[in-house]
Amino acid sequence: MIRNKMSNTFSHSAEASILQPETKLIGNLFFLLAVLLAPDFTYLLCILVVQVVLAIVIKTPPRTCLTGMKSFLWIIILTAGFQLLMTPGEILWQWKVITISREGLWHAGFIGMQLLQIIFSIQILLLNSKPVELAAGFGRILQPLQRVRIPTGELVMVMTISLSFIPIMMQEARDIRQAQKARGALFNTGSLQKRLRAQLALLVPLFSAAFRRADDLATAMEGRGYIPGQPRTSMYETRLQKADYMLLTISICLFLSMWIV
Amino acid sequence: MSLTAEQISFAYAKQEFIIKNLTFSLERGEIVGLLGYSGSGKSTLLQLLKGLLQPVKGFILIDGQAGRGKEKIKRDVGLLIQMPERQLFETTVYEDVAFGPQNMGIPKQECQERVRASLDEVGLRYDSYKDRSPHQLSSGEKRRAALAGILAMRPSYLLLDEPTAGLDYEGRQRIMQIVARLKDQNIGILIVSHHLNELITMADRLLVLEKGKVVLQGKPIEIIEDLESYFFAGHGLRPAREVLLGLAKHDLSFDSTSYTPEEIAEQIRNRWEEKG
Amino acid sequence: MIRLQDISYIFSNGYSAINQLNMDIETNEFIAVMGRNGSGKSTLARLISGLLLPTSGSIEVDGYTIDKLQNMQMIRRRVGLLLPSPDNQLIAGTVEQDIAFGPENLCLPSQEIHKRVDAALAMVSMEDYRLDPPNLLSGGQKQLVCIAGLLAMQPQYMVLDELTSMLDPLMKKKIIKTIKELHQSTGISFILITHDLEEAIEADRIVLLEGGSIKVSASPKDLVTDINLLESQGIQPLDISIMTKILNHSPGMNLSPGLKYPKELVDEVCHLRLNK
Repeated sequence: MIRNKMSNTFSHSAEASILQPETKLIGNLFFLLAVLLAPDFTYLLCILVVQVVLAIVIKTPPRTCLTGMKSFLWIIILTAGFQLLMTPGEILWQWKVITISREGLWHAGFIGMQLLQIIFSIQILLLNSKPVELAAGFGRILQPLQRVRIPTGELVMVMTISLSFIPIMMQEARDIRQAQKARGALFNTGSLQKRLRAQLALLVPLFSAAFRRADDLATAMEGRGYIPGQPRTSMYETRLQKADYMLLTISICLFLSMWIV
Repeated sequence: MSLTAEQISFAYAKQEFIIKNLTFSLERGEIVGLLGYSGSGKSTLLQLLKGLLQPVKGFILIDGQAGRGKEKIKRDVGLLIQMPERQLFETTVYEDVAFGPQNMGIPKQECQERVRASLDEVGLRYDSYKDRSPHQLSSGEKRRAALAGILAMRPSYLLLDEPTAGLDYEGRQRIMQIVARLKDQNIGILIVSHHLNELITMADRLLVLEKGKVVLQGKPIEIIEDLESYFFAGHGLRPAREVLLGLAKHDLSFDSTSYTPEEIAEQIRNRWEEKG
Repeated sequence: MIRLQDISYIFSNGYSAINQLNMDIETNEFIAVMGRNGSGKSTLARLISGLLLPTSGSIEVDGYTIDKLQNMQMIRRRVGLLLPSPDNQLIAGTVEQDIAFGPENLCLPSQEIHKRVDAALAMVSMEDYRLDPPNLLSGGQKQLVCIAGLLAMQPQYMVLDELTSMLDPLMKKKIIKTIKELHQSTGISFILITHDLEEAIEADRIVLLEGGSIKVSASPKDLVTDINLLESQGIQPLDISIMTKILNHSPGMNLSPGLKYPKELVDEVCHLRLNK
């Protein structure tokens, strides 16, 4: 399950890479704000239409997108259900202690829609970018903060590296678990004490592997001239292109139209 | 008495077969070498034989009994994974070696006996090693401690995945000496290795796996030449063999199944002395 | 050149890894460093690359002494170090970005970085993989990417610590061949740390460490004949040397000592005219 989700997250469609990661992040931010601050249903529906069109234009794989969203379905249902039952107001239907009000119905629908669109928006972002790229883009957005002595370069380096080490560490965890099963360790049966012990047996070698990696990595990075806090250049020049400007314009206009209409 | 796989196939859900219709048996007291490029299904086969994975078709028998999901497979088949020293986790060598027997519910007294015996078996003196931290051992010692952890479970069949990878010459030799002794104790041993030299000199039989199927098998001396053309396509042979083949090109032929430098040199020498 | 004078290195736990070692590495030299585990090989690698400061003694790289932080950075640019585990050294999400990591740290402009990445990829023949994620490559390919990452920094010296110990024999040969070609075409000095004499004989000089100091420093030709010394240091002698030794026991047989390659031995044996 986790493995599937990860491989989805790490997948990449080349078409979307015409957009710079900064644009994707900022565009997404405006979409999220627009959804969160939306005054009414009509506005929400307008955003949804734009989202769907965008998703199609940048060729988001529809099946993966839907499967990804399905795993969040119960959160949406739970939240909407809570709103439905807990909002007081003009009573439409009643059975014993359970009452459903007109306001409750409206709230449930509205919040459900908002959640759905937030998840949709984030799905589009993740399915069309590599995590490492996003981390780099995030770093460039935060770059001005370096003036006030916030080490954004280092933060981004840490993010980037953790992301590229996740698949390796997951493989390692699987290998260790297999090896311990081969020695008769039980992970899901036996007393609580036995299970805790089995988990500990997994964690110790995993941590020692992580430390060994960290040590090698630090040596390698130092050896390749990385000095924390020193300026670096990038192989890729960030040049915003037509597509970037279009996306930014659309998302900002959409956000601002909230007050105009 | 043997560990047998009868026409087993294996694939992860909705993916291609990793093992296809494979039949294989490992007798007690026999060393079988398993070769193949990465991705040929070697490690998967080991996991199937150990019962960590279940075949989707076919079955695995241990000494004639079906092993699927049974206690017997856990006890009788030992698996040493690649780079096993990476999963040593206890604070002392003793505790680490005892992990397997303890999981099997072996009483304390016998457990201690087993740890002592298996540490001795791998050449780590019980009294001087039992209280040391496994993390402070040298890489060769760690590898042997991990092997002791498997031996303490007293398996009748032993599956070794690249047991000498990354070790130096001495470390490799030590492991192979241990393996030879285990064979004499009537344990059936399956070794996966890319050190062709070791396998050819030690194994009773060799198998080559490709895409989950056996493509070549036989006694080492019978299939040396096939192996060399399969793995090296005529390049990167053992130097002694290159001499043998090089001489054959100059109309100087010797026994084409001899493999070690000693054997080949002896033959050249005899020819020289015959000539007077 | 790199000059090591009377250097010692003592770890914080009191373990003395390097003892009063003296060594010169010439520009454009190819040196192999051998020795048992614990003989100080890896510590020496880190000292030469400016990642450790010697406890005593001095290290000079092209006139810069390793003592001040500023010099150490200068030295790290001149001396590239590769560790045994490529998985732990690959930093970025694609091969191309990983190779660019070093040049980016040197603050080169984007155009120059592209040029260097292209050149480095071509030198190790990995152009086809430039946009692949490194963690999906094979072990040998990962090593080649690591080598390219160092080449892109255009170092004067490259220290390679056991880079083939986890590879299969064919890949080993390929990597050593690549290094030999790089040595000839780029003029970079290589310091190859290895357990494998078959690799070490490709160097101009072999340095044998024991207990943190140099036991022998000799040309491969001179070293390979000393089978007893090699075995006492845990090194597997060459097949060719073993064969030459056996053959030379025969009266009248006079093969040249110090043969390294099968072809050389084949030629000499052919001169014996055994088939006539």
